[in-house]
Amino acid sequence: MTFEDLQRSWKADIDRPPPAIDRDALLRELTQRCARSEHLTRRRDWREYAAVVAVAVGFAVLWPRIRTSWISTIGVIWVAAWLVLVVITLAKSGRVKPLSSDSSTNDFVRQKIEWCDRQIRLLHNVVWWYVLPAFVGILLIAGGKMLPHQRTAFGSYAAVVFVLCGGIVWLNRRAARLHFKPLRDDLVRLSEEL
Amino acid sequence: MWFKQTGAASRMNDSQSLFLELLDRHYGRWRAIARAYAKDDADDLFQEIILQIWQSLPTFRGDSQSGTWCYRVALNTAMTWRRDLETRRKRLPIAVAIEEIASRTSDTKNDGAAMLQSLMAKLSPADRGILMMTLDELTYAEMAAVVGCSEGALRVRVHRIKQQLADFAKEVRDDV
Repeated sequence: MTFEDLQRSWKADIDRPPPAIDRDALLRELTQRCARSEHLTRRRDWREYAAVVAVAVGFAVLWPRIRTSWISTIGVIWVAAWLVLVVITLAKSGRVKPLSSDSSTNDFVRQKIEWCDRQIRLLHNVVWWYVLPAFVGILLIAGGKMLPHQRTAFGSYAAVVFVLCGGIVWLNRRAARLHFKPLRDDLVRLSEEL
Repeated sequence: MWFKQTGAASRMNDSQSLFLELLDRHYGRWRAIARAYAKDDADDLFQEIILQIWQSLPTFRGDSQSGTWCYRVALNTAMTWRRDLETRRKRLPIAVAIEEIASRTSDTKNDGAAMLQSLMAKLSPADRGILMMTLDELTYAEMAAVVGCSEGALRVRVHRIKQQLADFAKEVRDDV
C-alpha cells in the first residue's frame, strides 16, 4: 500500500457528510452544556467562599466567650488574617486565564503543563496557606481558653486537630500525586515529541 | 411592535451559522481524528471535539483558514483528551443531540481505512496529527501554524513519518 493509497482512504473517510440531525436541538444542547459548565464553576467558587464566611461567623459567635484571654484574642485575629489569605489564594487561582484550545499544539501543551504545575503547587503548598495557619490559630484560641488549667484536655484537642490537619495535607498531596503528576508527565512527554 | 435583534443575539446567530457550516465541512475529519486518538472511546472524544469547537468559536478571528483553526482545536483536544479521561468521565454526559450524531455514523470498513487506522496506531500522538494533516494536503506553513514549530522541522518529521509508514506496510506485507 502506497502513501497515495492511504491518502485516498483518508479522503474517502473524511468526505462523508454529517448525518441528518435536528440542528436546533444540537445547538440548544451545546448552549445549555456551556451554561451548565459555567454555572458549576461559579457554584464551586461560591461554595468555597461560603465555607470561609461560615468559619468567620463561627468565630464571631465565639468571640464574647473567648475575648477575656489575650492569647485567644491573638488567635482570633490570626484566624481572621488566615481567612483573608484563603480568599486571596482562591481568588488568585480562580483568576487564571482559561486554556485556549485554538493555540498551536505546542503552546497549548505548554499552557496545560503550566496549569498542571499551578495545581500541583497549590496542593503541595496547602500546608502553608491553609493547614498550618488554621492549626496555629485554632491552638491559640483553644490554648488561651484552656491553659494552664486543662493541660491534658488541651493536649488531646491539639492531637486531634493535628491528625485532622495531617489528613488534609495527605489528601491534597495524594491528589497531586495521583491526578496531576501523571497528567503532567504525559504532557511533558507529548511536548518533547512535538 | 418592531422586532430589533440585539447585538448579542446577532452575534449568537452568527456563531451558530458558522458552527453549522464548520460541522458540515469538517464532520468527517473530526470523526477520523476522534477514532485515531481514542479507538474505544471515539464517540466521547468526538463529542468533546464538537464541544471545544463550539466553545472556541468566539476566538475564531477568520484570519486563519477555518481548516487550520479546526485542526488546532481538534488536535489539541484529542492529544490531551486521554490524559484527562478521569475528569471527563465525572462530567455530565452530553444529551441526545450529540450522541445521535455519533451513534448514527457507520464506521468505514474498507481495508484501506482499516490499514490506515492500524498504521496510525503505531505512531506517536504527535506524529499521528502530522500524518493526518499531510494526508489532508495541508501546506507545511499551515501545519507549522497548527503544531507551532518551524516548517523545516516539519519537513524532516513528515519525511521520517513516511519512512516509518513504508516500514510498517512492509512488515504487514511480510506477515501476509
